[in-house]
Amino acid sequence: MPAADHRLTTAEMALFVADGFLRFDGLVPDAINRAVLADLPAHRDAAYANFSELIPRPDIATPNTGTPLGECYPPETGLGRYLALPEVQGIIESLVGPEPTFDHDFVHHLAAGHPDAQHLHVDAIVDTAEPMFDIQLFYFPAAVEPGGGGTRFVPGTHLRSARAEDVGRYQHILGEQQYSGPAGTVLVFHHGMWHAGQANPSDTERWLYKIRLNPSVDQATRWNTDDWAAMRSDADDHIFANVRFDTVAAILRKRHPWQLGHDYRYDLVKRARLWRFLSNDATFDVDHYLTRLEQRPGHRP
Amino acid sequence: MTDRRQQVLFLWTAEASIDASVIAWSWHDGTDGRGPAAPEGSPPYPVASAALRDGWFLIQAPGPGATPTTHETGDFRYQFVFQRVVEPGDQA
Repeated sequence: MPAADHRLTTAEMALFVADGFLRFDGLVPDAINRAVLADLPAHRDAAYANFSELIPRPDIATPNTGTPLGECYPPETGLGRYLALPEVQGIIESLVGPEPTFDHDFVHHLAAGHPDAQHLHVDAIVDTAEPMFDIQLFYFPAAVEPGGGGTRFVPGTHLRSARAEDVGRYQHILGEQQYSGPAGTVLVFHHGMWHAGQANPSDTERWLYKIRLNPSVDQATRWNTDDWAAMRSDADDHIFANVRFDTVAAILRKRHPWQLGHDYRYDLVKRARLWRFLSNDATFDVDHYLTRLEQRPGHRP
Repeated sequence: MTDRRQQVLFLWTAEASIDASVIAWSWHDGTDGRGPAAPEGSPPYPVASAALRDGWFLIQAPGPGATPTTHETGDFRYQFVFQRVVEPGDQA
């Protein structure tokens, strides 16, 4: 549950770093869901015309890449009302700061019984060493029932430097999830999350509105940091020595079902580096991996 | 002449050893469902070497490979590929 000002708490931010996503069931009120569902067919037609048929649709207003988020959709439209919700704004501000810019959006619509499914993939480009990241909001304005083919994704994969379609070879990975949930649910993904749209074996059409946002400011300490000091641990918080269980590091230690080998420790290093970036805390660590290297006499940063 | 087809099972493991735990898998069926079914379970085998004992033939194992760049992670490094050759209609 986000803080009273709608920004994320320290624990939620840490969970985002560990999992690569946050989920908010039924976040968007039904009135806005209905308005969005009325708008989406036109947006779907524009997106498909642009992307699949290379036919521009100037009759359907679509924001230009780089537009400040607040200027993308008129406030009276369904999408404008959704994106202006204080709850949605608080999540966005916590992760990419105020006034992010529009990268692109897309409407995924699958008719009942539609057989096509995507291979697992990453939305390019992620093979960079920089910690900055985009977010992608996956908003489901209508309910998706279990077995309805909602988005498949693999928690914890977001910090792996995989090329976009290298991961398409995996039909199944331990710990993968397939979305189902009530109308108005929003999944917030780090842009590196491995995911795939799935076939729709149900007898109900499925709608997803996705928007990718780029930060326009430094992303550090944008969440509600009121509880950060209490959850911060020193570098001696170490699972092989003395460990605390009430800290950000404890959340970042989360081990996903596919993380059975020692590569998990490299995943922890990546999470620690991302938390250093987000918290502006250059000495933060998880289980001594970075500190062990950095404290050696003669270390050159 | 018999109509033989390949069924291929990809298993990715947590470590380089064939008896390490399976963390990901894919199955491709050259019989289009007219041969033996895919092994059940998620994952189909707890460790890759269990596929050998169930009649699969190993056709590719991960080599030493290049050491990744310092602290880098990516897609899964340890891929074992198995096959069985069947005749469509053989449901055994």
